Amino acid sequence: MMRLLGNLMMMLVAAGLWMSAAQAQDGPLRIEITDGVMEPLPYAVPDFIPENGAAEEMAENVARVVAADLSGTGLFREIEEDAYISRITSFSSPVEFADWRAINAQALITGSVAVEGEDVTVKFRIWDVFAGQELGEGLQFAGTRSGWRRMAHKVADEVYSRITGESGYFDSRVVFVSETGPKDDRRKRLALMDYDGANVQYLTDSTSLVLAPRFSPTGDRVLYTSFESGFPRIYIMDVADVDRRVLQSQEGTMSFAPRFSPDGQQVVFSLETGGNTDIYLMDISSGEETRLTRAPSIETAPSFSPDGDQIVFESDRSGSRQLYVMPATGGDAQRISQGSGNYGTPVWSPRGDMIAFTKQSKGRFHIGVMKTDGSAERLLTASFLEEGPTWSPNGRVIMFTRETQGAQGQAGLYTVDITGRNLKQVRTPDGASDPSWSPLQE
Amino acid sequence: MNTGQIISAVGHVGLIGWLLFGGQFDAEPLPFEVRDVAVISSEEFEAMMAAQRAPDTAADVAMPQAPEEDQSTPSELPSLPDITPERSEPESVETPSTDERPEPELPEPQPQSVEDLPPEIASPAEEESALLVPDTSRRPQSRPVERVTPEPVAQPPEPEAAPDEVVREETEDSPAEETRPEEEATAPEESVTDITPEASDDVTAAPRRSARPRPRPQSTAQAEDEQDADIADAVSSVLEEAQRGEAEASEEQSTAPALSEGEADALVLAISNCWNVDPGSTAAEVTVVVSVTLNRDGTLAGTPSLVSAEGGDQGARNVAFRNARTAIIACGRGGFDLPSEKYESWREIEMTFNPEKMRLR
Repeated sequence: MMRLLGNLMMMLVAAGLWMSAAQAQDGPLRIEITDGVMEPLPYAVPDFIPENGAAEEMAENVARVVAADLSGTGLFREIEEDAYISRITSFSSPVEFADWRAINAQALITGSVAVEGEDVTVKFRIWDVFAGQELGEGLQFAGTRSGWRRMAHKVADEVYSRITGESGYFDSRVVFVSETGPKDDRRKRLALMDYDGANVQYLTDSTSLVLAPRFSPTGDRVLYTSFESGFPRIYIMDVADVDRRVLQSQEGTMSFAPRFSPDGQQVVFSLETGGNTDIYLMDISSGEETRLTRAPSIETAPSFSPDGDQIVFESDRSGSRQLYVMPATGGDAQRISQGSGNYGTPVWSPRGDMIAFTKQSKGRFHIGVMKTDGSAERLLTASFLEEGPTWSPNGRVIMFTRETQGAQGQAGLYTVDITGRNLKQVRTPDGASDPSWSPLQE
Repeated sequence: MNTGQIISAVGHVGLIGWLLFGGQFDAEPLPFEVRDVAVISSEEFEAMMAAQRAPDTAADVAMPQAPEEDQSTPSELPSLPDITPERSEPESVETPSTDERPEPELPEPQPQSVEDLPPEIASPAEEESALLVPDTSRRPQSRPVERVTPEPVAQPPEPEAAPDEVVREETEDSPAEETRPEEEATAPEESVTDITPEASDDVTAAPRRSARPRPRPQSTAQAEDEQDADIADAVSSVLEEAQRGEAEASEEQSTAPALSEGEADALVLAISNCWNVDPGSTAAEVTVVVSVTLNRDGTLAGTPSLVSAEGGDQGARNVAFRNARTAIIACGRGGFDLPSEKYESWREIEMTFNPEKMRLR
C-alpha cells in the first residue's frame, strides 16, 4: 500500500515537472536558412548632381564610370533610370527610401560634382535602402579634370568596399604586352592601362621582343624580360620616368620569369645555364644571387606567397609539368597539383588562400584556382589557348591571356570572377597578352 | 479495511490521477499530435475559436488605443524634422549650441576620418595615351579626403537654392530617420503585448485538452488492473519525459500552438528566396543568427537584430548580417504568411543564416 502511494506521489511530482517544462517553452521560434540565391545586388546610381554649369558633363560621366565599375564585377546590377520613381534633385535632399525599395534597389549612390577651372570635387553618399539608413558616411574626393576617371574609380572602390566588406580593385592599373602584326611577324611592346582598358600608355618601343612584365608590390616598378641583347634578360623599369636597367646579366645564360618578393627588395626568377633551368633569388640593391633549386629538371615560374615565406613554382621533375611549393629559402619542395595534365604559371593570391594556374589537359587550356595545399581545384575557363593569370588587388578577379586559333588569331585580355562567372574581355586597342595587375593606387 | 476496499481505493485514486495527468504519460507523441491540426474534437474547436476570438476582440481594443496614444509621435515625427532642421541649420553654422540637432552633427568624428582618408592628388602631369615611351609622370592623386558633412554646413549661404540646402540636413539627421520606423514599430508591438496573456492562455489550453482523449482508453484499462511494475514503469517514463521535455524546451518550440513543419518550411523558403549570397565573398564564411519580432499580421515589428555571428572577420560579419537583414525586410515587406492562431509561437523568431552549403572558398 505504502509503495503504491509512494508511486502515486512520484507520479504527481513527475507530472508537475513535465507541466513546468511545457510552460517554460516560451522561447522564440528557431529556423535555419541554408539555401540562398546567387544574384547580382540591384543598385541605383542616378547621375551625380552638377554643382555648377561647368560640372554638368562630368557629373554624368562620373556616375557612368561608377556604374560600369560596379556592374562590371558581376556582383551588382544597375537599375535603369527609366524605373526610378523619385529623382535625386539635390545632393542634400532627403532620400525617399520607399520609392527606391519599390524598385528593389538595395543600394543607392548619390553624389555631386563641382568643377572650378581644372579642379574637380566629387562628393557621394551610399544608402542602405532596405535598412533606411546611410551606409557609412559621405565622402568627397578632390582632383583635377584630367584625373576624373580615377576619382570615379575611387568612388566605386568605396562603394564596393562598404557593400561587400572587402576592398575594391577599380583604381588600379595593368601592365601588359601589346601585340600588333600577324602571328609570324608580331611586334610587342610594354604597355600600361587602367584596369578597365582606359588610358593606354606604351613603356617601350617595338624594336625588341618583350615578355612577362610584372608589377612591384607598390606598383612603382615593373620587371620584364627583353631580348634587347639577343638573349633573354631581366630588366627593371621605374614606371614614373620609364627609366630601365638590366637586372641580371651573366654571360652565356638566359634569365626570365621574374617576380618581386612581397617586400619589393628581392626578385625571384629562372636562370638557364648549361641546359638546366633552376630558380634563383636576387637582392635588387646588392645584386647578390641565391640558388633555390638544384634539380636536373626545369624549374620556373616562381611566385611568392604574400607573407614572403613560401614560393610556388612549376617543375617537370615528375615527367609532366606540375606545381610545387617550397620555403622561400629553398629546400624541400612539396608537389601540390594532383590532377592529370600539365600545370604552369602559378600565382599566389594576394589574400594568400589560393593559387591560380594555367592547366593544359586533353588539348585544351584552362585557368584555374586551387587552395595552397593543392586541394579544391576548380577550373574557371576553357579554350584553345589561355595562360598567364594575374590576380586583382583584392584577390577576387583573375585576368589572363586568351588567344584565338588560326593564322589570324589574336591574343586578348580577359577577366573572370573566382566563382568562374562573369567572363569578360578587357578592351585594348590592339592584341594584348601577359597582364600583370597593380595594387590599388594610393 | 478489506482487500476489496484497498483495491477499490487505489483504483479510484489511480483513475482520478489518470484523468488529471493521464495525457502526460503519453507525452512523447505530444508535440507531433499537436501539429496534426486535422484531428479536431469539438472541445478543441471551441478552444481554438475562443483563442481566435480573443485576439480579435483584443485587437479591436488595442487598435484604437494605440493610435490615440502614439499618433502624435509617429505622425508628427516626419513633419517635425521638416521644420526644425530649417531653423537649426543656419544656426548650427554659427552657434552650435542653440539646437539639439546640430549638436550631434558637429561633434561627429569628422576630424579623425579626414586624417584616415588622405588620398592625395598631386597635380597630375598630362596623361598622354598612345605615345612611344612617354614620360609617364605620376598620375593624379586624390587630395586628402574630407567628410562631406562639414562642407554642407559651410555651404548653405553660397548656393542660390537655400531651401534645398535646408532640406538636406534632414538626410544627415539620421536619428530622425531612424526614430520614425521605431515609433511605428513600437505602437503595434505594445498593442500586441496587451493581448498576449489572454490569447496565450486560451491557445495553450486548447491543445492540452486535445491530447488527452487518445491515451485515456489505454490508461484506464491499465489502471483497472494496476500492477506495481506498470506504475513504476509509467512513473519512470514520465520522469524521463520531464527531463527530455526540459531539454527540448530549450531547443525547439514545442508548445501546443507550434507551427507545423510545412508552415515552418514555407517561412524558410520565403526568406531563402530573398537571401542573396555571394559564394566568393568572405561574408559567405559567416553564419549569423538574427532575431526578428513580428506583428500578428506577419509584418516586421521593429528591425531585425543580430544575436550572434560565427566565422569571418568583423567586416565579413557586418556584411553577412546586413544581407540577412535585407532578406528579412525585403521578403517581409507584405508580411509573412503565417497562421495568426499560432501567433504566440512565431511572434519572436530566431533565424540562423548558414551559408555553408553555398560556400566556395
